[in-house]
Amino acid sequence: MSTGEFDRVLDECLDRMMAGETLDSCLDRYPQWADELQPLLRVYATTEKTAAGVPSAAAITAARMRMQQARAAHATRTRRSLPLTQRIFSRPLAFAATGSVAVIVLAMVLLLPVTGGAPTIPTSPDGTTPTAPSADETPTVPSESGTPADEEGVATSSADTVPATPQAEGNFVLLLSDAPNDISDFESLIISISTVHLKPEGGGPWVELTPQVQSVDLTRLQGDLAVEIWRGDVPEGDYAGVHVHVSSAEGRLAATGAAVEVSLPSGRLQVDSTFTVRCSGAATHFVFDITVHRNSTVQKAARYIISPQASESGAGIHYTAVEPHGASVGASGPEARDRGSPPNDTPGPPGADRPGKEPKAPQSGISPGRADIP
Amino acid sequence: MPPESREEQSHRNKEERLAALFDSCYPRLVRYAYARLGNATEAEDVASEVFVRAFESLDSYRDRGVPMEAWLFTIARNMVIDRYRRSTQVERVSEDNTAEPESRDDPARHAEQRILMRDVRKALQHLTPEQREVVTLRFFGGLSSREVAMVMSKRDGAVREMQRAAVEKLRVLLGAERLI
Repeated sequence: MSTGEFDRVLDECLDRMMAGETLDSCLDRYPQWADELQPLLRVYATTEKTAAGVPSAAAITAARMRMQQARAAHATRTRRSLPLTQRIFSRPLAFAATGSVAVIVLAMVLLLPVTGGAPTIPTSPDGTTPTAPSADETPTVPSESGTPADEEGVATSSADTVPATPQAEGNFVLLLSDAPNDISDFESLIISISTVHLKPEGGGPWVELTPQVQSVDLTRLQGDLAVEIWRGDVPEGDYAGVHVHVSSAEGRLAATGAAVEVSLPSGRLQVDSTFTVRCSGAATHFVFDITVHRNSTVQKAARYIISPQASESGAGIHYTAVEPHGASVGASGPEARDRGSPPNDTPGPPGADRPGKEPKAPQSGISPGRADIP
Repeated sequence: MPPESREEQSHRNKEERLAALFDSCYPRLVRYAYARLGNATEAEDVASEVFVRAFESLDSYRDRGVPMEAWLFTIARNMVIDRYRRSTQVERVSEDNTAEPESRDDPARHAEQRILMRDVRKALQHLTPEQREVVTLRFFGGLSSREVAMVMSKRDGAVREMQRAAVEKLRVLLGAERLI
């Protein structure tokens, strides 16, 4: 028997064992080579027994969600790359609806001189005439009667994202914080955030925020401390999650002062938590909690991974605000859930000019850190 | 309703085929990545990221040539190699970052399993990098030798030869430890 032939038989037996056939059954098929095959097939049987790494149910669910998001993003990209005519005709309902509106408007324009009357413009209950939003106004996309969503529940409009406007007195505040885990290993752990996306509930363009504070030292944000990284106006409506895009993470160990690799495998941190933003009333404060894990019990051989801490993230989380430079400025946030450590303060009174705004009273007990903003 | 264009159909078909592979491939990708990286969390992350990257580069995938399943493992293999390059650690799995599956109901069996895993991992380190790749893709990833050949850009015959050589070497190593 040639070596190539034996290789082929061994390969076939391995295939059969992988499909569930027993070792003995394979040997019965090739009695003339049973002596040579048996020890090699036993190697497979032994090795296969050590095939660990069975993913947890939570990991499977999370991976499936990520895949579905990637699939939706691919579908959107693909549609945008198709010619306009193809995009229009592949959506007959949308095309029909747009066409119907156009016909009605055209009919009104044509019939106006015949009837001699002026069109009645509906007024709001207070008697004022509503005005169409100007081009530079922030669009109110994710309203309850928002844009139709596709089968995946992700927006299929021509734009993936709409930029949100930073405002000193906005209706939305995004803060970063840090859950304990292995942060105590670090002297500093500075992460840089490039963009943040808010996912509208039920589809529609995602809202893109460019953080006003782009570098944050997580070691300064332990416990219920949180730093505001963006404040401004976002479209009113319900949201289903926040994605934070991290461009770099630089860690320095407390024990040795040495730089250490901190990985964020996908470059993105994601929290799927529902929240609502309103144009009037209190601003929504969303705390995004990031944590770092060591993957070894031996610190000098450790590697670190940062990930979102979903259970500590969301709107309505209690926090103590600190300045980007590390100095605490006061407490804020509705106390729908507490963040573990007992609050040393209570939510402050509403701001003078906007409900829900943090009071800027200085907070003791937190030492000023070095500047985290470049 | 106008029919979908051929291009649209092709995109949709590829998307559906890729999504349909999740259930069968994700656990195998985890097993493969775990065998290479020795860390359950990292293995799950690699397997998850494989599908994201696959959708990101789906337009470059052609139906002819490499089957989609083997293409996914090619992405996984490249990711594993990237992680080694980024890491200061050499290509080995230390006991420190090896997370074994829990079997709290049977501590004796768990201990036995741990010892077996340690010895098999140690034996795998004695293979050449290519032999180790063949064994992990084949035994842990569950690919056929033809698919392994596609992932590694080798001939089928060369892969079968490497497989036999690897298994023979493992037999000696594991036999010395009285594991087979």
